[in-house]
Amino acid sequence: METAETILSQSTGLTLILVLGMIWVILGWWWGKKSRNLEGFMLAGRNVGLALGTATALATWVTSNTTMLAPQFALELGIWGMLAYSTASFGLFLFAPLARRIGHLMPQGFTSGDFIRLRYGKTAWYCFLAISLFYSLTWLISMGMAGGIMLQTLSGIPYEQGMSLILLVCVLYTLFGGLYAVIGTDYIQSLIILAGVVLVGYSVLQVLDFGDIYTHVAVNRPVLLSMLMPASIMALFNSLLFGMGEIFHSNVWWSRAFAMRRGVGYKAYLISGLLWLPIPVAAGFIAFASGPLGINITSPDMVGPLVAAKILGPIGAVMVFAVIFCSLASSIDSLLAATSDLITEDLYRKLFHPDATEERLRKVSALVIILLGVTAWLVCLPRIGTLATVLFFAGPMVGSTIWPIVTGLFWKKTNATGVVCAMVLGSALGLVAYFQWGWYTASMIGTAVSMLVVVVSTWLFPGDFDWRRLDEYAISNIPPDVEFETEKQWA
Amino acid sequence: MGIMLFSEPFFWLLVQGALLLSAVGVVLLVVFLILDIKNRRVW
Repeated sequence: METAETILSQSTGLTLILVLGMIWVILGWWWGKKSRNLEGFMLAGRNVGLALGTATALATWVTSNTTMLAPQFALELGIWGMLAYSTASFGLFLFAPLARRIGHLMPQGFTSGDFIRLRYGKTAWYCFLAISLFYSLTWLISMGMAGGIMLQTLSGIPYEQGMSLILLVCVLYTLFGGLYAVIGTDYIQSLIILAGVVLVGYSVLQVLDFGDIYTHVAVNRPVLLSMLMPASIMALFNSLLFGMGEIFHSNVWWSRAFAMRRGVGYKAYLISGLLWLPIPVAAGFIAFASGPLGINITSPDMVGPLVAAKILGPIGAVMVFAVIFCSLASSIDSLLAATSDLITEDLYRKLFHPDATEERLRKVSALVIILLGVTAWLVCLPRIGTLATVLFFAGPMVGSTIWPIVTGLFWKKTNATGVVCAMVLGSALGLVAYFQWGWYTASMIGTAVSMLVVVVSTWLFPGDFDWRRLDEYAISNIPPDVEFETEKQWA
Repeated sequence: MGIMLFSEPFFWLLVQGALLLSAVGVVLLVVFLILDIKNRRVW
């Protein structure tokens, strides 16, 4: 079935998915040959350079939301909407010093769960795992659903087919190549995304006079150019906090910090933030061209693809389809790999089978990737329309982990009990705010409560953590009678 | 009282800056890869 607003025919859409999908699977299999052990499969041999490190952080953070929703944000919230969306890049900027610290303190670490367990003990670890796994699964499922819906909207491919295809492709290449495949394909995907956004943007400016675009908006919808738009300014804070919470706690970003070669993490996250910053504006402003072009927008999320297709014809439509497919794949593959690492390393190995061999763990990791794909597929199949609500529901929980992570990496005085209370109280009060006042307050309340509890508990009951305890594998080779050195000697 | 609008030059600068930075991003990623390949530091 082809709807009136699709920009591509079903057969062209399917051909594109199959061609791109086959390229990713073949490359994933090819690169996967490099992963000879568990460290290779999970962390790409801990040797990722600046080019691939920057590209993988950039591509993972460019989700389908960035490319599809940025024009919608511009259309509904104006210039401030685009700027608000851009602040999600601050999470990448701010993670840069954290990545350096993580590499310094945990040169042999595997997951963000490892950090919480070693830094705060088991109770905090259980809380963190519950939050992190809930969020990762919700995000994975929401991306699968978004994939199905978008492919249907763009080319009329039935939802079930599109969603199944994109999940299958991502599961296959992540399974064959682990993080090597994810990072390698992320590089190509980030080039396609950036080049696509630039090409469409400049084409719009070639066809239309910029002054005409501005005048059309100023006359017909001046509120979009308004310097004071409260809804957009609220969106700015939400976007900023969401970006920070998501990136700071999620193993997607920690596993990349562990995978990058020494000295690369800081630069890679900083540059990826800089390159991500303009994308919502570059991809979003084309929505303003819909008026002068006389495009009738019946569904706001289609404004970007419709403008691109109108300006560039079939080539533009193919380009937009490829950009959105790459945005989806680069996030789904990362979620599959990072969540599988968290389940294999933290649940299977650390909780149940501490003596499991590397070979066994490699098999478990592969099995978990398949199970995650199947679970996501099963939940996505009925096309529940309310998943965004569940994702917002996770906001305060994720927000409550920001301070335990940041202070845990830099303050030796932050204590385990305070952190557990911060995560529990932050999540609980954030959820109360969610139901009492609305989703837009939940993350802010969760983060604020967590900050207050962490700071006060650190001040009242200062701990004295020895940073060397974080290097678990080095520590296991030290005789038990050796005393740990103090913070000053290790900082 | 009318609403205060972002001026056209500001909007133009914002869009051009965003497009330019994205284009620079493509070049940077390619240059980084060439340098990494040259120094055998890809992964």
